[in-house]
Amino acid sequence: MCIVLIESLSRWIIMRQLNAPVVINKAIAPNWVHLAFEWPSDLQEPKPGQFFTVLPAMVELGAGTLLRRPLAFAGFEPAKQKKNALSGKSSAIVHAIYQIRGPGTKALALQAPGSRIDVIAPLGNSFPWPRQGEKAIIAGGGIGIGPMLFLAASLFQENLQLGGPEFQLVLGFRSASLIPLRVGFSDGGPMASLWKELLSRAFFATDDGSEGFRGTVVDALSSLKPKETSPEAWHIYGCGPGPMLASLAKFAKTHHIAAHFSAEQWMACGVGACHGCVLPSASGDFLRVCADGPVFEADRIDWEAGLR
Amino acid sequence: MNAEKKQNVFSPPADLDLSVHIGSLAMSNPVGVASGTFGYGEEYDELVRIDALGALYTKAVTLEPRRGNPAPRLVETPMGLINSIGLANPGVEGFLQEKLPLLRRHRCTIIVNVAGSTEDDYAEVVERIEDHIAVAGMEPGERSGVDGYEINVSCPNVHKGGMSFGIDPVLIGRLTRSLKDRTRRPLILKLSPNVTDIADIARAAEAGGADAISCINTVVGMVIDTEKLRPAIARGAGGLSGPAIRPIGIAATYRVSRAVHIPVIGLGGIAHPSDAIQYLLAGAQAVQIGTALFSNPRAPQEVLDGIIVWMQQHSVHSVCDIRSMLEEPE
Repeated sequence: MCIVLIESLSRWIIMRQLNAPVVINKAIAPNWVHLAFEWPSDLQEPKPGQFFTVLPAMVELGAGTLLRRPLAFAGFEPAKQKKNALSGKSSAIVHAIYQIRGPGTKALALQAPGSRIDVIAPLGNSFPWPRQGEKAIIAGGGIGIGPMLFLAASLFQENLQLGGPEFQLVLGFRSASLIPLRVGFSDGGPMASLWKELLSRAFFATDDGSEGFRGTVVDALSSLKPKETSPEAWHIYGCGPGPMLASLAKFAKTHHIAAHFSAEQWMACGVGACHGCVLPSASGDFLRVCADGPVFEADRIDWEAGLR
Repeated sequence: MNAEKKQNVFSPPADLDLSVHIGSLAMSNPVGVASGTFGYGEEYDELVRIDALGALYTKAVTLEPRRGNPAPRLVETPMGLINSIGLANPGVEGFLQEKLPLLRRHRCTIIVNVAGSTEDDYAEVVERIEDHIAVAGMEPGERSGVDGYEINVSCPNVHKGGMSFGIDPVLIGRLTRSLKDRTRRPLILKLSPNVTDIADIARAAEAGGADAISCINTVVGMVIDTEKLRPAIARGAGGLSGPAIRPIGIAATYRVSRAVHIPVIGLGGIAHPSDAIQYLLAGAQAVQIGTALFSNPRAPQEVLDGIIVWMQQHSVHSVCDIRSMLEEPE
């Protein structure tokens, strides 16, 4: 009996394959799309860091995509009493941001609101919350900002209600023109408005210096650090391109800062069965991004070796 | 059990015989899940009704634990997937301690896939599993969790062993005989398509005492990244699977099933019922679904449902009668 209880506690995350109605699927930056779909009321709500996989409907002759695409959750709206203006329903809605990169995401971008997508969710682990007295430094690079906006939104809302942990978003882009929800990209409902609010408070780093700090996210953090009274109480959260995470890990290690990153890798099953999406661990082993992560303590992964 | 899962619950019509017989073993239906795509059953537990599967072929078990190959291990191709996992697994002891107790809770047929670098490796894995079951002191009626073995002589992703066995009829015959001496459970030899004539290999396995042939493992393939100027996966070439290889698997099944008298289990690119029915018409008595699971974990149930509908439409009573329905080409 006891064993059964322990086993059921250790496997309490229940994933599900669902045909979810699309609520929003519209551009928020060049080649970046905001996707939102309905979330069943009896499914555990996703946490920042977790992801889902979606099967793109085949549209192009010969494009021949086969695999599901993993996407990080970028926001969650709980079910409401009132009907949602966009979906006409009161159900919960989850959000994600994806970049149109190949035939799979191109097909996904063609899904009209009201159509259904084949989703498996929720998958993977989530970011641990900052400990007492820690300030969350939420660093995102490029399309990696999705899960970071979710984490920031959660802390932001907790702050409004209970005075939760302090946080600072630090976001890196190649250029200002790639920052989402700027001119020409109208917002799509309450989540996009919340993202816009968070983006207005974010510290930006751009490669070309067209907005905020000129340089990388890590350069920006180095410049912020001396101004902080107690940077050792930072907790860095990161998601972005491999080179960014590698240098962010080095930065965190040098300054003895706690750090958790959400990793990315080519993925097949998404549930831990195929061992395809591994990254090299610091101890010379391999860890599955889908099932052992996607969130890892920064020094658990050999980010440099994972760069090839 | 949740609502989405409940939709998958079904009971086959009483007038149909879906059972498959491999040596002394009877599978409840012809649709299994392929080795390496389903772990040891735990990972898909929440998405797939495992008890309804015809058979679960485990991820390969080797003598020693293996970490597997460097990353990246995967690349998608048109209607296909190249993998180079490198038989990452906890080793036979890890399998017996951690995986088997969970596996044996399932009611479906469980086939343990075995891989090795040398003939002795294969023999020792089978021996250790047999010894473990013999001393485990099971209650009467309790399941051992091991209904048979699938011998992987066709993995393209390891330096030693694997495919080098699968291309040599003499080695195949000897290995099969040696394993036959160590177990009374059915032995299924899983063959590589990367050979001149797969029928020669199948005949050697049959002569060695194999109870069935799984046909086919992955096809060697490579994708090159034109910007990074190197192969897309770390080890270079890997094993191509998915719908892209289905016609290769069907042709191999057709050929092998005419070369041997033992049952053939067809696999390679099955995603839909008609894919599986093609394999059954080509001569297979059962099928496995692999890569399609990654896209659609419901594929095994959908394929089985579709086979049943097709059998009813074509007034076929038994799955094993399907193979006799093919009109032979000129």
